[in-house]
This record gives sequence, structure tokens and C-alpha cells, in this order.
Amino acid sequence: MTKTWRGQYFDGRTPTHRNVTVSSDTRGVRIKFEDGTGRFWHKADFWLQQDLQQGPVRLEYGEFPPETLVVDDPEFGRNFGKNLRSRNRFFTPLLALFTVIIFPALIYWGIPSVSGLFARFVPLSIEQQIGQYVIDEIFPNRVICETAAGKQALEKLLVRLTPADSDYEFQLEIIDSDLVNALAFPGGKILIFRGLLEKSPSAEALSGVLAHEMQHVLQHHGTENLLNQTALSGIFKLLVGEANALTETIFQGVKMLSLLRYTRELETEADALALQLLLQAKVDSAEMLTMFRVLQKQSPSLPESFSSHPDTSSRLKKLESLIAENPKFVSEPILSPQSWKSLQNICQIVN
Amino acid sequence: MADIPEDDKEQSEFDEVLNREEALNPQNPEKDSVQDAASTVVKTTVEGKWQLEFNGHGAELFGILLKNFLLSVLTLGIYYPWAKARQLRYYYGASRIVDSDFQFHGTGVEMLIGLGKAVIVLVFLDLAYEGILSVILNEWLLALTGLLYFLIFFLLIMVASVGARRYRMSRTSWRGIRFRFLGTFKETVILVSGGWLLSLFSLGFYYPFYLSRFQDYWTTRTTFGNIQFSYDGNGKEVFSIWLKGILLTILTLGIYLFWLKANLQRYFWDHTAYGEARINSTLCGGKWLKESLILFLFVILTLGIGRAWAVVRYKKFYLGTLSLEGKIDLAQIKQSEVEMTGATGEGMADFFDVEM
Repeated sequence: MTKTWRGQYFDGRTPTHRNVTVSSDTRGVRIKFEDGTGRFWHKADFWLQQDLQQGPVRLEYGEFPPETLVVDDPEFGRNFGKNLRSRNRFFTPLLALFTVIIFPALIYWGIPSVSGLFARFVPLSIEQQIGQYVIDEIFPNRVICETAAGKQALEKLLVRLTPADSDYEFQLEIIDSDLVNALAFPGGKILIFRGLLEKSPSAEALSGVLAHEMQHVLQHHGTENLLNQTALSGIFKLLVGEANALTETIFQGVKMLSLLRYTRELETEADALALQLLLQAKVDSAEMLTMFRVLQKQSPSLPESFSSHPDTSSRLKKLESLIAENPKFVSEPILSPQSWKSLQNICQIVN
Repeated sequence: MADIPEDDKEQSEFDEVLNREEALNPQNPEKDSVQDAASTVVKTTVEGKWQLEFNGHGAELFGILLKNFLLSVLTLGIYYPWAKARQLRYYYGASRIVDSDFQFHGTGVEMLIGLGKAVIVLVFLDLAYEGILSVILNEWLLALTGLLYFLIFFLLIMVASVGARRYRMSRTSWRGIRFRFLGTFKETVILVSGGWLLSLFSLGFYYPFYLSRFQDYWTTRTTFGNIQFSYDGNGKEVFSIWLKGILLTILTLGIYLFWLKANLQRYFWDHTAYGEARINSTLCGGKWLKESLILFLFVILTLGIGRAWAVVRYKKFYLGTLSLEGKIDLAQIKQSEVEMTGATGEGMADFFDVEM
């Protein structure tokens, strides 16, 4: 005995309806009018809609204007399989939970690893253009220090540190500014500010910083960061488009934290790899520690979560343990005391 | 632009096709309607007062919004037209009158094509404008270009509103019968630009008369099946509502604006009829303001998560102010041929945020 449902049939020409009983089998639906006449709709000839989860099931048949059959009991839809199965009542909460988990995951792991992957495929020439563009945008009026002796010393540092198999041609600029900082840009340009040069205790210490910046370039960190930020901004545009001002502020906060965490990871990576560069070039890596201690005094201490760089003391600890792994390491001086002096005074003509 | 006689001609051809089909199909239900009193056709004339209701549930709508949101993010926004179609289907399906719900038949593909066309037109215009700007140095010409830009912008908004209305109506049905909007771009532009110019020259005094004329046009050009809606409001009455509203708005430093808007809307609804049935509105400013504030605050306080529930509440309120009273003979209403307007206007309307 097949089950029957009560429904309403509309002919598509007037809004009147006729009451019908409906039954269905694997081939289609059979509609019976009250006067005993009937019709059969083959499964392939009608399409089906259910707009509300607990609402009526609607079958439409034929070209415009379609005949319509409306059955109020949503159970009827089960005959037609998958798309009408009534949803588990836990479905929506589960979906919500899924969202709550998937988004942070996407932001914290997905996007950074994808941008890391893509950064490796950006051609060198494009990286160089990006780098030059960014430098000119941020420091349009920079004063570059150049004395013949100073430049010679810089060249010596670079040659010693650059790995033999490197595709990059590093270019160093010393900028006349009190900032105690150094910056690396995609494509191989590195800016070192006079402040850092003056605070450096030795040529080896400066090499530590330089190696760190060179690793940023070699590992495509700048390009990666750029891709990462672009992707994140895109996603947040989308999120915010659907939300309001308050949500936007919260999203911005999460985005900021995510970006900071991300740059900290890049910094840690650059630290570890810089040590390798120093080892290869036989430069005394203990001086890198000295440099960090100097820098530690310079920077205000912030909780790590709010900073773009890892906490200096944890950075020092990591480096110390890494250095301890290579006890037999013998270093050779990188610059003569005289060259170091001329490098430190590279800005004197400008002054 | 299709003229009305052309429409009529197409309509009669369309009716013929239907009749032919009827003759070919012996099982056709129309045959039964001439039988005895125990005919299978249910009584076709309905008489009384029916409330328009919204039967949506916050949880259901939340599921739809969430899914739409997720898919939009994962597809970088390309899912948007499908999301919109899904949402509209829900809103229409949950709206009922005389025990039958409305249906929205628009599809995501249609709206994607419409949106694509709108984007192409807008990008092209923008590029053309930038291009012209970059070569023009003469200030006179610059002002002229600005004017031209404004004109094109105005025309585009008109295209968007008429197109969106035509699209929406042609995709909306009740008990299997589609709505239609027969207004044309040309008529709308003439009406709107004329109305604005006259309002400008009369220092705003013509504006309420224009509002009434526009409402007349917008309403009477809308049909359900073969019968059009009618409007019997007049400019003078709108003028008195408007004048009182403007004066009180100034006195109350703008707060009365809500009441003014509510009074106008109520007036327009109350003067709209379909055949022998008249629309009744109980909208009033205070309640409307309260519900709008609840909607707004609820969405903000729940950081947007409660939007589904807030929207359901608001729709229940707004549709609840509308009812239909009188007599309708369903058998007299016949399906019209629906011109399958594309969704370009709908897509364009997304950019201008117009919904008249």
C-alpha cells in the first residue's frame, strides 16, 4: 500500500486550485483529482522546490506557465531523495561551530602557508621592482652615506656573507638617520641606519644583523608578507562587508594580532638561518648575542603578542642554544680594525 | 521599448497557445469547471479581510545567511548572486496571504549574468570618464563633462530601478500566477526628470504632487496576472500630509521625519487596490521607529550574529501592518505572458542601492 498525501494543484493559468491526492513511486508522481481523473508526472519532467525547512514541498511541471503541485507536509519531499531530507536540528549549530573554528584556522595557518608557497614563485625581477617601489614610497628623501673607504668595507662584509649559490645580488645602503634599525626589502636591497652602525660594538656584531636581514631576502619574507597582507585584507573586506562597524573593529584587531604573530615567526626563522650564514662565513657568532643585548636596551619592552619581533630575551636564549650546538667552530676576523673604523664613519662627510 | 499595443498582441497570441494546449489535452482541468455543483474546482471567489503575514523563523534564516556567508567567503564573493537568490526565495516563501505563500523564481545564474553585465557597463563608463578627464584641459569642457557624467549617472539609476522592478515582478508569483511591471525606461525618465525639474522650479511645492504621480505610475503599471493594480490617491492630499510633516519635522528637529515617511507610505498603501480588493495599512511612525531601532540595536549588540532573528521580527512587523480587504474572483485572473526581463537592472541596482 503506497502512502498518499493531500495537496493543491494549480494549473498555471488562474490562481484557483484543485484539491488532489498524491502518491509517488520510483518513476514519478501520480496526481488524483477529486473527480477521479488523474495525471502522471514523470520524474525527469518536473523540478522541485522547498524554500522553508518546515514549509511546503512544491513540484513544477512543464514550460511556462508551469503547473504546480503543493504538498504541505514536508515529509512528502523525502520521496525525492537527498536535497529534501529534513535537516538534523543540530546542523545549524554545528555549522556555526565549524565557522568559528575554520576562520581562525584559515587566518592563522592557511593564508601564511599559502603565501609562503606562492612567494617562492615570484620572479626575482618582480621582487626587485616591488622592493624598489616600497623603498621609494617609505623613504623618498633618504640621504645615503658613501665614503670610498666605508663602501669598500661594506663590500667586504657582503662578499664574505653572501652564500656562493645565491641568486640575489645584495645592495646595501647606509642611511643617515638616528634610527637603530635595519630593513630588508624583496629583491635584495638592505637599508642600515646610521644609529645602528654607531651602536654596533664590532664588525662581527654588525654582520650578525646583516646576516639576519639577508636571510629575510633569501627566504622571500618580504614578498611573503606582502602576499599575506593582501590575502588577509581581501578576506576581511569580505567579512566586514557583511558586518557592521563594531564587528569591523574586532576583525581589525584579530587581523593585526595575526599579522604580528606571523612576522614574529619570520623573525625567528631569520635569526636561526642567519646563524648558519655566519657559520659558513666563519664569522664569530657570539658577537650577534652582544648586538642583541645592545638592541634590547634600545627597545621598549612589550608583551610578545603585541610586538612584531620576538621578545629579545627569548631570542637570545634560542641563539645561545643554537651556538652551543657548534662548539668546535673557529672564527676569523671579518674586517681589520681600520676598515671597521672607516665603515663606522661612513656618514661623516654628510655630517 | 515594447509599447502597450504590442504587449496586447503578444498576450492574445499567448492566450491562443494556451487554448490550443487545452484543446489538445483531454485531461485538462478547465473542462471540469463546467460540470455540476460538485465540481472539483474549489469555490473561486474569496471575500473578506486577509492579513499579510510573515512566517519565517530566525533559526532557519540564520542557517541560510550563515551558509551564504561561508560560501561567499570561500568563493571570494562569486557566490553572491546565488546567496541573494536563496535569501529572496526564503523571504518570499515565508510571506503569505489568503493561506498561500509567494514564490520567487529568480536564479543565481540569471543574477550573475545581470551583475556581470552591470559591472562591464560601469567599468567601461568609468574608464571612458577617466580617459576623457585626462585629455581635457579646458575648464569649460571639464564642467560639461561633469554634467554629462551626472546625466549618465541619473540615467543608469533609472535603468537600475526600472530593470530591477521588472525583473523582480516577473520572477514573483502567488498561486502560480506571476506579477509583471509594465513601466518602461522612457516613461520613467520623463516622469522622474520632469518631476524633479518642476519641484526645483516650484521651490519644492510640486514635490508631493510628483510623489503621488510617481506612486500612481509605479502602482498601476504593476499587474498580477492580467489585472493591474489601481491607485486612487491624489496630489492635494499628499501635499497636506507632506506640508504638515515638513513643518513638524522642522519643529521637532527631524524626529518627526519617521512619522512623515510612515504617513506617506500608509497613504500610498491605503490608496492601492487590486480589482475589488483594497490594501489596508496600519503603519504608524512611532511603532515603525521602535521596530527599526530594535532591528538596528539587536544587530549591533549581537555583532551581526542575531541579524536573522532581528530581520524576521522586523518583517513580521512590517508585513503585519498590511492587509487586503474586499472580494477577489480568482477564476477571473489569468496568467499573462511574462516578458523574461534579464537581471541587468537588478545587478545595477546592487551598485546604486536603489529599491523603489
